[in-house]
Amino acid sequence: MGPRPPAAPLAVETSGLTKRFGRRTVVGGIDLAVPEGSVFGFLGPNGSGKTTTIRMLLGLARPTGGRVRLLGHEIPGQAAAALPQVGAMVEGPAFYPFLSGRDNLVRMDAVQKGAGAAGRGARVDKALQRVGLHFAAEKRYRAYSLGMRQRLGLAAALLRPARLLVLDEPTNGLDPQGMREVRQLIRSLATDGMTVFLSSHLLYEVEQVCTHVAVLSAGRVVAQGPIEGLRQTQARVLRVETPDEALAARVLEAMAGIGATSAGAGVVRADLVGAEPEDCTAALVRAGVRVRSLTTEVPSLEDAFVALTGEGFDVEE
Amino acid sequence: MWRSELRLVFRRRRTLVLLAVLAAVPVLAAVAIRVSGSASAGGPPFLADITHNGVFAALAGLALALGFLLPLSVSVVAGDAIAGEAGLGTLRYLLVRPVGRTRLLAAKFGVVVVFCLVAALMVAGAGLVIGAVLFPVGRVTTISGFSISLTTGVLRTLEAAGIVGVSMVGLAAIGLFISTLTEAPLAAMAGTLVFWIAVQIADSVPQLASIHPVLFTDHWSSFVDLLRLPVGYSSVEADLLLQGCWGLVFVLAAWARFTTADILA
Repeated sequence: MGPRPPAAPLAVETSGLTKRFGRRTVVGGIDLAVPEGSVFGFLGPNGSGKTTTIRMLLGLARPTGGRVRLLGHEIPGQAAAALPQVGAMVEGPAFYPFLSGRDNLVRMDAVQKGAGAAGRGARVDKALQRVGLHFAAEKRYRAYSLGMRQRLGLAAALLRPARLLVLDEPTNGLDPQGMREVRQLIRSLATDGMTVFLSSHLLYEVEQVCTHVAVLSAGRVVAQGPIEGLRQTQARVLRVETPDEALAARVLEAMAGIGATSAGAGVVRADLVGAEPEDCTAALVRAGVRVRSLTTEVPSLEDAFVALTGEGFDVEE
Repeated sequence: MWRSELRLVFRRRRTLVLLAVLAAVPVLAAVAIRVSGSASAGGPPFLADITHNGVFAALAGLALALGFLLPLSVSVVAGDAIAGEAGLGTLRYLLVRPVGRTRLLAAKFGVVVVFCLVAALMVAGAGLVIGAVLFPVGRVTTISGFSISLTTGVLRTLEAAGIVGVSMVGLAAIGLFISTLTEAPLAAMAGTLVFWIAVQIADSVPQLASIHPVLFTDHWSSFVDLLRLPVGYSSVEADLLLQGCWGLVFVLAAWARFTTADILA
């Protein structure tokens, strides 16, 4: 463990993190670097190893190989030092069905070492307020809808001030309104300086709130970094509308810095792998191509994702 | 933590039903004897004595409950200790709170032991009450034939209940261990019960007499000796030693298993 440069403190850091169950490798040596203060999207299709990774981050499961540092502490060895500063929701909410929402939170607060009984009621009420569940606080968990259960899970994760929030698929079971509320909640927590580690198989969810992203595919990280950087791993596309499509395609193909081109129905597309759009415009005009419009398209994160994992979302392994 | 665990177990309807059923044991026995007007000799210890002195309803209740209901209740509560949390998924949330695994296991076992004592006292308490209501009470004639004052008799009865409660510690530890092996609480409860039945069968096969002294059920009826004069403590001591050994072995096994297990539920 060498000293870390203070410039880039990491909330979560793993190296070669591996988990095997028998001969099945679920997590195959992943290196994560979650900067403090980021909203980190942990993106991958169902069954790609996200939850198993989170279980290892939180010391619930032992890695078969590799290391985990959580807020600067080795996991699982120093979990007791790191976990009090972490709020977590792992693989959906889980509570005692025979207790009310409030009593469930009271128990969660009470079991923690050093959490005094003084202020417990206030902490619980504040957490319930924050997720909009105070109106159903006295109802038994058994009677909660899926969305209410999810909210109670969030409330439990927010019960104490944390430096890091680990949320595993937090919007599962929420309606669109609830999803938006969760996104707003995450944004406001991030504004307060909290690091949020958000796992999801829903790309647009990650795209809307995250500053950084890691893409997991079959137990391996296939891309990681600031979200803008990931978008740019895909070439921009030049889109030319013209009646002279055959000529335009020939001109573009002849240029340096142009990747694959395709033409059809009055539209020519070309991957920009170095060439600038303004040079293309000049070349096209010089060759006498009648250009109706010329635009560049930034590929969506989804395109980048599909290019990286070779599959769409919601693909079961 | 500790208080939260106690509240979780003792506010649960299932626990209250178990305790109510246990309390019903001496009540049923006493009412049956009262209605039939007589009790024939034989059957569990003390049953025939109820008509002379209501205090014996408590002792007969303990003897009856030891036959099945008490081990069953202990199996349910002990088997649920860890597996119940795993089955609900709350175990992972307790551990990331964080609650240390050793601390959680200690609290769970402590509450199970408290339940054993409460359950035995419940039987004795209900027996004393129903005995006093339905039958005459007075000086207690001990097994040895001497009589002791009513107060002493009641105290001895409560002490006997305490010993019956402690006699469950071995089984409670076994239940705790089995509870760390599975995420299905019903499986852990059934497993504990089956273990007890197997031991009891072994304890009743004469050919296995050589291992009888080490079986945790072997001195379960030692509480009877408290109703002798002078009180015979040798069997009680043997019982406590047995419970201590079984308890220690299985609590350690539970600890070894639980502190290294992957929590995937």
